[in-house]
Amino acid sequence: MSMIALKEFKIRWGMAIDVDKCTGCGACMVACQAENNIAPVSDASDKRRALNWLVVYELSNGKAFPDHDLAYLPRPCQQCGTYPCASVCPVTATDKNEEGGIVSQIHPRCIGCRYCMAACPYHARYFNWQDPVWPRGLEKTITPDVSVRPRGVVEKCSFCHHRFMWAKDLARLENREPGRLREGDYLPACAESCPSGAIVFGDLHNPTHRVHQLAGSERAFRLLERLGTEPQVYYLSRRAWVRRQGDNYLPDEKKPLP
Amino acid sequence: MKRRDFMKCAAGFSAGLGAGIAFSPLPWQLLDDISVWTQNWPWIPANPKGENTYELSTSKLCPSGCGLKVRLLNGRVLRVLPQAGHPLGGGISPLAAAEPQLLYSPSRLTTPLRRNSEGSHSPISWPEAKTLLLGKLEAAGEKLLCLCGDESGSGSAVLSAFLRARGSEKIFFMPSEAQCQSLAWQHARYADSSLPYSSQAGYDFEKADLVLAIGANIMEAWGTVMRNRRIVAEKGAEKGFPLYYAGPVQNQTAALAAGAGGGWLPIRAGSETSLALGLANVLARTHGKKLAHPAFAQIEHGLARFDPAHVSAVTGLGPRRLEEMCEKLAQAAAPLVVCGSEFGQGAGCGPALSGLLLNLLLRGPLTAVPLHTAALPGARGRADIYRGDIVRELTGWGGRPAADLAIFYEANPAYALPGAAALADKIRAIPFKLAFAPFMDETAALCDLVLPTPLGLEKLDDIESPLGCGKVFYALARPLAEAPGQCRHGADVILELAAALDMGLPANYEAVLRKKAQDMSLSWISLSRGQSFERPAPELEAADCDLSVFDKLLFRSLRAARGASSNGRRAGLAPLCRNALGTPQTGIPPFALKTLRAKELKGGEMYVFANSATARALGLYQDARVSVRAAGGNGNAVRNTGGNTGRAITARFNIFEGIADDCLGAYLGFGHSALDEYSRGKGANICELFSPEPEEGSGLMTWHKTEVTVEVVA
Repeated sequence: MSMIALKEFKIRWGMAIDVDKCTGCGACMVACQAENNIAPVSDASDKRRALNWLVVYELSNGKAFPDHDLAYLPRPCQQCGTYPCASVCPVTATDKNEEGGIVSQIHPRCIGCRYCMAACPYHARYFNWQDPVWPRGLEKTITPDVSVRPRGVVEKCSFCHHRFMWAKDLARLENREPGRLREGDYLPACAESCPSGAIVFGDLHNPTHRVHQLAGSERAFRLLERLGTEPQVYYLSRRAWVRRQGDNYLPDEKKPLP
Repeated sequence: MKRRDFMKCAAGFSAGLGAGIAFSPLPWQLLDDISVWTQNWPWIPANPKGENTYELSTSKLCPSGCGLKVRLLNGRVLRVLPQAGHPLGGGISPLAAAEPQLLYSPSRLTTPLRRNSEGSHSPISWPEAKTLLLGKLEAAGEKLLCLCGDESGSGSAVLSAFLRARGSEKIFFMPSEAQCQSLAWQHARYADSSLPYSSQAGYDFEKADLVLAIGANIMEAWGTVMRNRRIVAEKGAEKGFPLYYAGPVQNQTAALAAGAGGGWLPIRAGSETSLALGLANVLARTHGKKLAHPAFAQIEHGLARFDPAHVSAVTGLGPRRLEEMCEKLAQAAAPLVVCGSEFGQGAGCGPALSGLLLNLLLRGPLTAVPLHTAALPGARGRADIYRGDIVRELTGWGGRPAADLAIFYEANPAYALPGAAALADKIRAIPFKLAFAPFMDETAALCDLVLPTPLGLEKLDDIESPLGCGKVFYALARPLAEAPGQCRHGADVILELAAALDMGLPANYEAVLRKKAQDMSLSWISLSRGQSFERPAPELEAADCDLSVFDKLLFRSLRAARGASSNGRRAGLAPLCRNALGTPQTGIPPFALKTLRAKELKGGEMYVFANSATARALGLYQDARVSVRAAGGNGNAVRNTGGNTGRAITARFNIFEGIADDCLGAYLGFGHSALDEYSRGKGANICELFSPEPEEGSGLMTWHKTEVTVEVVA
């Protein structure tokens, strides 16, 4: 169980990722890197060092051919309601205190102790072991929106928080209430880029948003739900074996599965 | 002042100072500034500032032709986002999203390069390059050959007009699924049909209520992928969509099919046509799906041998599953079958023709999409150019090349042709070779003259009805970024040469595109602002087809099928494509490299994979280093490809249960020996293993039934 009480907000930005619609193409991963100024590396096969805020995992039902089945599961930061990462941060570099319920990561405050990485049950946090290097010319793809992180700090998915700021600014310019954004006003880069529409984003508290309805679907589940982290990322699948892999169930577990 | 008072004052002052500091924001602000400062070293790139603008375009790099919304910062291309409402869009492909990094790559070619006697390349000026080229053209006369890597644009029309004016008809496209589909359609189109000669079969996903993809990886690498995925997502938003995939590997289409409520029908590599004909046989005999045409009796006779038992022996798919699939197809109101090559090339006309037959029987929503040829004197249409076969051309050469000058237009045959190294030797023997290339790829490295060309976001070009598109589609790729150095559009260079040789062709490529838009009654202003156009195409009827083609070509194209079990240590090669692995000309985009999984690439070694039963039969184990060697097909392999029979690649082995028995899966796109650090030296090029064989009937070279031997090496 998490050590922090559930922190509630009027708006809870969340995702519903339909695993059944994901083909594992990687468009979301590419969009995430480009949007958030994540430097390329020439040996990306070293998964301990390659840095990605969003990773698409390949799931297998574990059966031999011809009964084999597979699915793809994109994993951003789960933006937990009871955030285990923040409770261990000695310098409050990560917190959850803004309307919307996004777990922040303030890079200049981070001292690189990596306690948050150890605490995160989703492996959604990454440490900059080296300074980011853009080969000559490629630095022209750095956007103005997200600061470039040096070595020695931890980073993670922010649900493209800068896009949240843009959406609020636009609402103010159009004399709309920035605290009542319409569905689609604010979309992270991964949700925007997915060709299959597998990633639905919106306010989990707003009944008019699709994500609210999807989160209540009988197909919905969350990762490691029994840890009590209350993630704001929901997954959907018709397939029982996929839902079962969302948590550490015992082989002979009697408790009903999600 | 007494000492005690002094001490009291000092203590009070110290306490006040301490409290003041503690409650003042200053130290905290200073601490914050210091921490920010320590993370802003001069070698950490700073965020740029400036004005954002957005422009619309269509991707020239991604074969799916997806729509782009390009973000520019101070007029410089920064990001590529999906364009809402684009007919071929709906999201963005990883390749299109990764394109900005390619624009600014330090590996871009920026000046014309001439190969010197030592084999290296030195910069020369454009006037020097032009003079050299004019001299070589004069000397070559009509012995010219051109290989074009751009199928959807009008560059091929410019090149064909240029070649024809010089007396040569030797223009080819790189081998592709579009070529197989086009040739099949040309053979099947009835001579007196009202449909235009220059047209291609279109797949109207919008109208389909069930889709069966046989071989064709329609959700990742076959045709208009982004459109296909959008349509299936929209149609299946609530209750799923009946999407089925038949192929040797549980690929992206199979994954989506399983999730959508359909399923995967595992079949052996290269057995797509047999499965399609087995389905056609059961549909005709059991479900009454027949054509009211005298020629159909002959077709039924040809189908007779594809009974479920025979098809099961060839494909490995149980007869019950075959019949279940037939029932679903028969019950659907508008079923659509897409039959093609899993890796987008080398399957010949067989799969496309068998898919056509199935769609005719089922009255599936097929269309005939007319193609427009740029109005240039002597220009040849896309369908006409597809009739040439570059693999047959090169393998047909004896000791001497049949061309004195070859032009490689945005094509990388030395990497991507089947049996690449052997055919590269043929290319190397051509006396003078010219490459239009954005990067120094494997082919450019062989060429005597290399001319730098812009990438898709840097040039004005067009995209017309890509493979699989169910409607007439036309859009422009817009020059939104400035090309580096002295890059020039290859078509403009060709037209300049034509002007110098008084050929009577238009002065520049823009004039060609403007005329084409005018001929298609499209607004140039709208096109040049990034708008794309889509028009309905006529539905395809059996009356438009010459049904004798199935007897003449299709049934003949099927040679003796591979045996039901692996022969000793042989397996059927099941190649796969991934959009993120880039194109042969660009290699793997830097951003896309991280999308590769741990069991696809490790350091410089790629993985090949098979299921556990096949691994046991072949004596393989997890993570073993294996040598994969071309087994030379079934004995009919063309001998003069330079001996790719026996060529081998080395890889790691992974047990993956999502692959049919007796198959070995491997990804295309690895193993570049040129390009940049993100592509070079990563894995092996499995094109080396392909053994081209002529398809009986059509004569088209095929390599989708390549067999390999696998053994563990130290």
